Amino acid sequence: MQKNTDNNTHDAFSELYRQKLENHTLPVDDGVWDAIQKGIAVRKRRRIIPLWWMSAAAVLVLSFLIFRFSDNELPKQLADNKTIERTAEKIVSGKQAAEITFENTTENKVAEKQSAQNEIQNSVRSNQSERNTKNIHQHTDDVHVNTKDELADKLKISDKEINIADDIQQKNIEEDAPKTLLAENNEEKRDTNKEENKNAFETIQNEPGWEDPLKTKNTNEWVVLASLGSGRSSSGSPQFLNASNSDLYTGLLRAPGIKTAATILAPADFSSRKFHAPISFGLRAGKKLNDRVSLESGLVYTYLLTDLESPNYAATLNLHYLGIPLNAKVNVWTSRQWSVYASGGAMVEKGLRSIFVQEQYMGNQTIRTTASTNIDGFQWSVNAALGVAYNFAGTFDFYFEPGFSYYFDNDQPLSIRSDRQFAPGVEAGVRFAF
Amino acid sequence: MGDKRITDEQELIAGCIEGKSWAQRAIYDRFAPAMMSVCVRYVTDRETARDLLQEGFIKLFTKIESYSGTGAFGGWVRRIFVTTALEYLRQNDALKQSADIDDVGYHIENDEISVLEKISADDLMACVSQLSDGYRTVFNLYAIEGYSHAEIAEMLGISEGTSRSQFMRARKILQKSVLSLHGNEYAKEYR
Repeated sequence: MQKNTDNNTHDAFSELYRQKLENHTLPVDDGVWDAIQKGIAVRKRRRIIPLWWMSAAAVLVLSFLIFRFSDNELPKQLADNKTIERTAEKIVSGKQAAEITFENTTENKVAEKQSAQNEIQNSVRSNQSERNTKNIHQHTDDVHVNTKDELADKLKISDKEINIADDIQQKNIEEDAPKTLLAENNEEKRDTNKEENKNAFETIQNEPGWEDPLKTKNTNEWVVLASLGSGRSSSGSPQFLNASNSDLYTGLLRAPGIKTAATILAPADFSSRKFHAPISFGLRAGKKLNDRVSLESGLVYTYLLTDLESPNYAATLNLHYLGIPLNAKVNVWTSRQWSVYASGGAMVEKGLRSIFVQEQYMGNQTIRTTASTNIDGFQWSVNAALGVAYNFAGTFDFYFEPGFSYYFDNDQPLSIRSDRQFAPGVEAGVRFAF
Repeated sequence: MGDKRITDEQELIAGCIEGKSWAQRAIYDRFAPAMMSVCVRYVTDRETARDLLQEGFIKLFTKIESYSGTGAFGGWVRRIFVTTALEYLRQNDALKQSADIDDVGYHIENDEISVLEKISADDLMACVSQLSDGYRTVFNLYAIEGYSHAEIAEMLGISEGTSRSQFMRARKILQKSVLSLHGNEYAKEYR
């Protein structure tokens, strides 16, 4: 507001009027204050409810995203006409048993079948030589796939089921033989030849290297695996077996029509690891004990990312946690809307999902495999942080809180927390004080 | 003394931000009578003014965190109530009237000034209340609150010329009212 200068100065009449009325007062009856208090309470409720709805919506969206990424959509989104897309669902039944059912959707399926037999043979042979614990022999023209009784018991798969799967496998290959010739003469038709094929196939072996990082120790744990491969031409013998066998993950994930077998490395087998700092989002409520100190709790979502690399392999391990903190907060400095504080306390977290995404490079082919698992147990930690908060509405703050946490060894998957128990982290979120 | 009051005021503001009832009550006690006068200057009707006072304080306490602290808190508070009153007048189409009149010939005589000095604030309030909503609003905004005609034009959605001419017209009416009031008083004295 600028003082009026339209006439440069008030005329004497107006000025005198202003002087007499500017500080004039009138009595106010008592009922006004009561009405004001009621009005404030109503407005606060109106403002708080949307904030809680927003917070609840944020949590829902977050949860949706977490579980969204845990399904098989990722490979499908990345598929194109040169992409072999594979999705797999696996139920891990015990530490040493696994059953994988592949759902194979491929656009190059016919052409890929050409090399399927050789690849299967190579894969299985290699697997046999490296992993004596269990094998699957798949019967094709020159590859025999049998299932050991012992393995069948472990896998809880009946012989009948496996035989059915074998029959389907063989039938598919036989049926696709004429198409192979057609595919050789017509590249374009190959690209547009879409069909879905479901087959039971293969197992993955269970090696300590795989089990430990993903902590798939529960007997009835659900695992979702997805695999996607892309290539520009049909390949010869797969090259992944040239890698050091000690580097190979136990499982060879293959399906009919897939020209190469995906080899999954355990996170522990990668030669290079890069741990990213945890990123957390929190919804906290704090109870003021006095002007400076408050006690708070709430919900904290944390995302942990680890990049893994080895020759011909790259992978990311994405972990999603939801935690309940209990912290004491001491204000160091406060202004009208800003505050700086120190915070310390403890938190217990439950892993929501572990998503392992591996890319395997084989010449001009890339096979992407996604494994999504539950995370067992709880992660306990103590923490200390220095935070800054901005009061954006009533008693609601936005806060930004870099700090350090000490993570106890609670047998959790590979992350910065397992690499170094004393790890930095950043948390941001919304805090409600009462 | 002044510093003590400022510190006190800052504590009260901080308390209001935290939603403390005692702080809100202290702010209310400090400003309510003056803001009641502001409301009455704009709407004249006491019951409506009471409603505006109530609405203004609810706004004040729910938006107090938006007070930047750079300007005088009292000025910030007053603006809330003026704005609340203007919103009411706008909603009731009280500000639609406009009368561009020529800005000519309103001389302020010295005797009018001396008369004005003798009249009480309550009587002046009564004179202001006799103005139409449009005139009264422009007069209040310009003469009492200190807004410029450009600002008033923007606030009320009228032209600057309209604001200026309405002010002139309002002032003239008030001058007549004041003289009339003085005449009555003068007559009383010598009756």
